[in-house]
Amino acid sequence: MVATPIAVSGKSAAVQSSARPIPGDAGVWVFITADICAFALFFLLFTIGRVQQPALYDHSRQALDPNLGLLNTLILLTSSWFMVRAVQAAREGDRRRIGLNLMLAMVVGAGFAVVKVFEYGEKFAAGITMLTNEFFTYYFVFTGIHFLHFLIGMGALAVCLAKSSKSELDARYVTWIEATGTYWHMVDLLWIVLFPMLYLLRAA
Amino acid sequence: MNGLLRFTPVRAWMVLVGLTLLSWALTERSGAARLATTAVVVIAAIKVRLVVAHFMELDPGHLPWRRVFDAWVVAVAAIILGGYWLT
Amino acid sequence: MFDAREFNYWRFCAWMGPVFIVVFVIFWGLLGHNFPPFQPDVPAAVVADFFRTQANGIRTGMVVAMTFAVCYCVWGLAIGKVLESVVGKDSILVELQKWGAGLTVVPVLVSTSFWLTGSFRPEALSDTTLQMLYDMAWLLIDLGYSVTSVQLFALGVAALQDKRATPIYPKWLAWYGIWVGFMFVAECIMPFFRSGAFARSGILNFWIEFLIWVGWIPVMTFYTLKGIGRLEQEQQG
Repeated sequence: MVATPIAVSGKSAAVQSSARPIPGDAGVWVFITADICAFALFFLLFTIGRVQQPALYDHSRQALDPNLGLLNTLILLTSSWFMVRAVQAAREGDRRRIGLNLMLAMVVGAGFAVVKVFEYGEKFAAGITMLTNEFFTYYFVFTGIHFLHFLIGMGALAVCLAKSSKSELDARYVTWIEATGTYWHMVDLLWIVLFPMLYLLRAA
Repeated sequence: MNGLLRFTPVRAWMVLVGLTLLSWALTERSGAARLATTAVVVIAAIKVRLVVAHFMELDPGHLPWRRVFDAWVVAVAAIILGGYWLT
Repeated sequence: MFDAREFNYWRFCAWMGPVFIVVFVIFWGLLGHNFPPFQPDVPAAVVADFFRTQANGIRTGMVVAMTFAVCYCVWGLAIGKVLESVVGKDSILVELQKWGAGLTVVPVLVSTSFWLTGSFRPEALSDTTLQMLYDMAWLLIDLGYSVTSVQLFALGVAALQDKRATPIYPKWLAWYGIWVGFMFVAECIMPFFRSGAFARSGILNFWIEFLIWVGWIPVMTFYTLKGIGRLEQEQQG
């Protein structure tokens, strides 16, 4: 599965000891790492808060709808999968498949936004905001920051899609779409943690 | 790392969806809440690992990043579970 | 092209970055009781008492901080000269980085004047007025973040386009700066909280936000100085 386009993307051979080079631009992994570390801190803050006020957290948690959280998890997993296929298509230089998979990734991904807006709307209608209590502060801020990441990701996917029809599918394009893919998978994996942490930690 | 190559993205996706549905099903049980919830968090950690290895294509040879991500998964699971078991 | 003297001016300007941080931490931070700031839910009387009993320390801290605030702009202009060799003199990215660095001086300069005002005649002011001056300064310095984000994004995008075999600014540094520029956005929720992680004194909106930016400045300075050396050699060779 190691197609030649990857070999010309100028990655330092000395660094990699595995069969395929690291996807994307080497530096983008710094961005991704910094971002997941910020979220690890968020998870720690939430955990500390929950240990201090377990009853409040569990009671507030029950106002969330795990079905919506589940739906969002499945949406992002599927969107990520289409992204993987788009990157594969880019490595093989197949414009049509790149476009198709990016579109699918975006259309499915858009479902996340619909669910999120609906969910937030439900909360606001019930008079729940980020100032209601500590649980809801963390709920809105962390899912909100995650949602901003999602929106930026959708923008990046759109740029990849636009470039796939116009620009040369050279090593630069492959690096760019790989980096976008990595970022998009990060958005996915952060939600994989957020969902159980916010929605599913049942008091024993 | 031939094992990795057999785990195609489609299979990874199917496993991820399956694990997601499993952990959601675990939340429906009213009994053994503590164990079920612990399982849910562990499953989430496994899912993250799958995304890192098979979607992000971060192989064990991609240092230091693979180690960083592996450590992250362990740390995050430990934090959430540790806090959960303290209450 | 440029003579040796010109390159030395660039170096001097680059060193203004570290000067900025040292002054900022000592004079604004420690003397001004801003490192960390008072938690917002602290009673007005406590903040007022601080202004009244530490007036001279605050005055000293703020006059030095105000004098050296411009160093951040000077530093940014040194980066700008190096960036011209990366993306070309005419690139708007060079302009955006320069303006971003220059405009960053504004929230720092203006907010330090508010703390200075509180310390000028605190005995004549009420507790709540002094509290308001302290709050006002913090709201400005925190919510003025986007001018710095412009600098960080422009710099990141420009640095990533370096076609040299070894880029002047490493790619990881460019990406880190872009990340910091985005992280600043969390300051938007700061005005909604009087305590906790998202308040002006909180772990996210104070400690993380300030440290990720302050830590970036010496690293950028290092690569800028190195870059100036490289450009000097490229011109000679």
